[in-house]
Amino acid sequence: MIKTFKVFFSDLDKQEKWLNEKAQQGFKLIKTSKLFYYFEKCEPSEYIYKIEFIIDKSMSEQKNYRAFLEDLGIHSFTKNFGFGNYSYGRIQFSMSAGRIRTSPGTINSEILILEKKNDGKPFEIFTERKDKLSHYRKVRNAFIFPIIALLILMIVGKTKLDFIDNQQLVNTLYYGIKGLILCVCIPFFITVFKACFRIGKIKKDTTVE
Amino acid sequence: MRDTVKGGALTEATLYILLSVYTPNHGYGIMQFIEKETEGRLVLGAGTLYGAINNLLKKKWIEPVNEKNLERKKEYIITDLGREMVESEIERLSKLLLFANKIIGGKYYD
Repeated sequence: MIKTFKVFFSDLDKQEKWLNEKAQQGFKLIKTSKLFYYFEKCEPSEYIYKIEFIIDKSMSEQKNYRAFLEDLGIHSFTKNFGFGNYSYGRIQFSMSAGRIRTSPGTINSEILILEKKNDGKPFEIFTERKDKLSHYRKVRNAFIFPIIALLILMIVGKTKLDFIDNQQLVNTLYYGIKGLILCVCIPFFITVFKACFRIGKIKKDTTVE
Repeated sequence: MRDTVKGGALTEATLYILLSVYTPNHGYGIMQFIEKETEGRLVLGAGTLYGAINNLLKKKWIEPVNEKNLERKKEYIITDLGREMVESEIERLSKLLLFANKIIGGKYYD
């Protein structure tokens, strides 16, 4: 079994692409953890992968969905996403999904990695326009919230450091934290932008029902 | 599913799913049924099918079978309400077909 360290911050597409590249080379996903992916050797291009954002599904809904998928020959792996289990992330994600997350089991299973034997046909989970739209909206909304929260944090943050006497230290800390927040926001922005772009594209495409 | 479209028209996918559960059927069977009967023209993704089935369950147009069994292969069957929906859809489509046929000069039916 091959253990690979890989962390994808907020880009679902990159993760999917990476898994499919591995699959093309002949590696099948066996297990996932927060920081690692475990593979086993298989035939090249034997499997294909697709990633779904299931943050809006409760634990029992997730179980149902995964059982349904198994019946269709689709095996699935849960995976955490971004900050996963940190408390501020938990609250924000649940609010963006429109529900207060009370079932602790769904922390760290915001993403579902779907695996199917490659039968030459494209692997589409959503074939109806409204399903595709709601998927990308979910992704977009999940990130807009933390971006706004972080920006607010950035603006109000300075007052919290006033108890430190050393003005220079306060300034460095302040700008350091600001910079860090901006760095974190950039991948989030990219993901939101990508999702908005997809949403626009789907809306314009009148050939799909 | 845009089943609240004016006039109560069903989407093609919805109608096919309902037809596929006149005898008990499970997810995979429903997918195969649709692909076979439309000769590959209508293919539903797993996520879309799951959402559609849940929607129909909510509307009580279909219901689960084998509940006590707790086996993974959950099966579904059409309800009386579901049958009503199918029949009114057939009526709607028939009227439309006959009318359209008349307009084009009666090519398909007498």
